[in-house]
Amino acid sequence: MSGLFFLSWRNLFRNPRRTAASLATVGLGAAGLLIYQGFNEGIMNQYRENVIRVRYGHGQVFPKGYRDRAHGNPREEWIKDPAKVEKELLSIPGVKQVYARSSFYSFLTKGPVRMAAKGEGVEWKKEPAFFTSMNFEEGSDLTGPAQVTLGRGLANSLGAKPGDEIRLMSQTVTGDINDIGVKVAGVFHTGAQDFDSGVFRVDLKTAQELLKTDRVELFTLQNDSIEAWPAVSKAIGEKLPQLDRVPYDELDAVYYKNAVNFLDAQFAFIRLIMLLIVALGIFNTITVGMLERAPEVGALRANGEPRRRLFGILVRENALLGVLGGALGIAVAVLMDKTILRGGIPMPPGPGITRHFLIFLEIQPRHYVQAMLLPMLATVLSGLWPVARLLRSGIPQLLRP
Amino acid sequence: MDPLYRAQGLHYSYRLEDQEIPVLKGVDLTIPPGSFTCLVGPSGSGKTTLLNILGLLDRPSRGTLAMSGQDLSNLSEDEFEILRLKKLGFIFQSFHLIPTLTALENTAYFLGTLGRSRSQALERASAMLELVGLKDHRHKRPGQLSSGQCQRVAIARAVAKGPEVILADEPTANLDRTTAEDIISVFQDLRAKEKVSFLFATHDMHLVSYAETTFKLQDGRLEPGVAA
Repeated sequence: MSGLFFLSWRNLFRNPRRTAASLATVGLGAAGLLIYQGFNEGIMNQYRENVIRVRYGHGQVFPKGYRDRAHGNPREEWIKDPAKVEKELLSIPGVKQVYARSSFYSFLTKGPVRMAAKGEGVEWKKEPAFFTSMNFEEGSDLTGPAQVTLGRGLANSLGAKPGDEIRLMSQTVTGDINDIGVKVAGVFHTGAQDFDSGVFRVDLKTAQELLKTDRVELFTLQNDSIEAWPAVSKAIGEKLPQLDRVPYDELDAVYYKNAVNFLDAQFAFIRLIMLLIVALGIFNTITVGMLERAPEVGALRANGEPRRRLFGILVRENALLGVLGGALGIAVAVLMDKTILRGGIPMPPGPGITRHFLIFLEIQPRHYVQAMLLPMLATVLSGLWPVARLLRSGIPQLLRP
Repeated sequence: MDPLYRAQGLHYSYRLEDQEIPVLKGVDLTIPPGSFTCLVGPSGSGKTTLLNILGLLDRPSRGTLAMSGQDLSNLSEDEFEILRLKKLGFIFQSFHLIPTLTALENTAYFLGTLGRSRSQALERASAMLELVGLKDHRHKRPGQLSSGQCQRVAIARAVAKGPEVILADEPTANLDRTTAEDIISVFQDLRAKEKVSFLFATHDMHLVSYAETTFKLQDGRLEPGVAA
């Protein structure tokens, strides 16, 4: 076996200029594939980080059936005794921190302007440590109980800025109207248009006071890692069966999950196109290189070299060309990543997003494997026809000058 | 002892468009083992075709061929491959060495195919190169050798696997007179030392002068009374 690899390896260098041209073609294809994959991964990971570190954490737990149907008075379904539930959640391996939240609709009044928006009661002391992608354009995150942070669109509509007083008016759990005064701490801009133009955040206790309840709607989970979710979810299901568990990608299915599926499908198609381009790009070079060896192959076959063994040598030779081209492509892609792409690739706002952002290549180990294997597949496929022709032709025909 | 080759009524023709072109028109011959034999004749007389049939590179359209007593008519292509590997060696006018391998590696090539270990193969190849006078050139590649040296490597490669017969198509055609003389003496040395038969298709009358048996082909037939 090693003898065949040796022969294939040496054959690669019989025409260094042609081999270099083939390697350049394969290498550029592999580099393009790798950069595109790294770019895609970069987009999705950045969006995922945004989804996790702005809104949903690694996932959320809700009262059983709460999200599945409409409720006459949803607040009656909220989680009772949240301190006890929080303690139990924190005891589950893989759960690093939990954040109680409650959402509600409220009127916000500033001077003569009154608007309806969705409020989120959050634990202001805990959340800023993990939810780091809120991107405060003005002011800061919540630093005390009687404060509010506003999405940029909402702040613009209200004409509010940090330090301004705003009154919140909402319906309590008993149906009464209640209102409280809060001070604007900051204006955030997450990039998600629906969130920035219609959401504000207040301290959870303030929200509970406004709504006159001690319950919470949900807990957002911060796990040890993204990969910990299945085990954490299973443990919660066993320990707290009264709760539904929903991961971040389902909570943001409209954008995140659909975008991942869309990009994956797009990438599969582009990968196929690139494979075809590489295969067609080197088909001619490989074919010429193979067929001009017809007399040599004829001489080997005349002396009894089995066709099966020759097939092994020639296919290995093309596979090695693909692997070397893949390695060259990886080197080129890594070099580009560390030099001209080091500062990221500036991108315009995506669908539903309002801010420009930078994409950094995030090349994963599986991408390197793919960047080696796909060019190898392309070169082996490109070489099949000339190899078959050499092995199926009659020996006198191969030997004919 | 069975003859090396016994051919009876060999015919060979190929099709050109709708026409059948006969090349061999009933060749009968017997070649004894250990012989030094030449096939001669003008261009187009069928020498190369007959050599190809005797070398199991092609099959006759009609007729029977036996090698060392074994009828070859019904053998498969895989069986032909095995016979070519074990019993036959081929040498060509243009050598057809592998340019990326050294003389030693080229010579050892088929020993690897035969399943010899690398050290055994290199040892045997080294001995063969010494026999053909290339001991000091074994680490050179074909591009670094003269035509005569390349032909010696091709001979060493064909002989190294220990065949019963070496078939050669115009082995001296690309060589100058002195080199051709050297090559012919190499053939004779090898015949004596390796007990191998030689069968040449050639125009080189100098080479023919060394043959024990010569068959002259004329228009696809052996000329009667020429074999000697």
